[in-house]
Amino acid sequence: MAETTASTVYVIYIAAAPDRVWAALTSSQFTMQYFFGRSVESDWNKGSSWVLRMPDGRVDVNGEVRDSDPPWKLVVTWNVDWIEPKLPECVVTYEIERVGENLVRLTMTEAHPTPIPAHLLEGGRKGWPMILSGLKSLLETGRSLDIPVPQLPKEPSR
Amino acid sequence: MSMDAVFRALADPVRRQLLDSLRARNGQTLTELYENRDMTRQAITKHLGILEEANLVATLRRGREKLHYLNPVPIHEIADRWIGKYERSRLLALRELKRNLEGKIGG
Repeated sequence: MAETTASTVYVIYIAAAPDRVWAALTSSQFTMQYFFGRSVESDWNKGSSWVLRMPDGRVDVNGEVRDSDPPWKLVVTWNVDWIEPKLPECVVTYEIERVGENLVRLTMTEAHPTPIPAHLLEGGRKGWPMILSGLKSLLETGRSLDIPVPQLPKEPSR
Repeated sequence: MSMDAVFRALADPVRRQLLDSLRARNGQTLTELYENRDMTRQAITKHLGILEEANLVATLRRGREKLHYLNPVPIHEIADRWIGKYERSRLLALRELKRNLEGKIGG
């Protein structure tokens, strides 16, 4: 994989065991509760494909598992094909580190091999903190946040 | 992460400017953040340390360099604590109104 500088890095501390955080990232039972109702499909082995589905079953994001080291590291490519013009592929990395007895640091980085216009990055800037807070809240309290279903992104203005 | 650390970190104008600078351009090195600033390198390093401790800045290593990223997650958690689900869209509408009337984002 070509060395690409991350464009976005988010860090969140979660009072949970590493394997719980891994499960929350890779199983629909969890993602449907914090990832805007979306489900995930993959065996999460290196080289496998993965899919993120919208609540109505349409494919939202698809990609490839670039690296998988449960429960510590997951690297996936991220393609969104239903928005025209298509967004350039990006690489999303989740790293889980144990920093205490029952505390982990989850670092999510997003790297774009080709530069992305600022207005397209804006969507992720709003979405990811909400998704990660929802994940934390779900694991720590067993409840998901009251996340309103967001509107689909508008056609990017050119 | 304690919310106290986040508020303490945000209470300083220089630290807020550093966050503004990262929002404008994420992933800057210490040297880039130090440029055009009327402060010593040590002072900037100290401010960045406080921001990192509050988890408002995340860092990545690239070779010998350390890259700094704005981490808005703690600010989002603060917002979630006091802003309800249905207020969010009304607040966004108010901000748009203000922005249109003033012709710029309020500081």
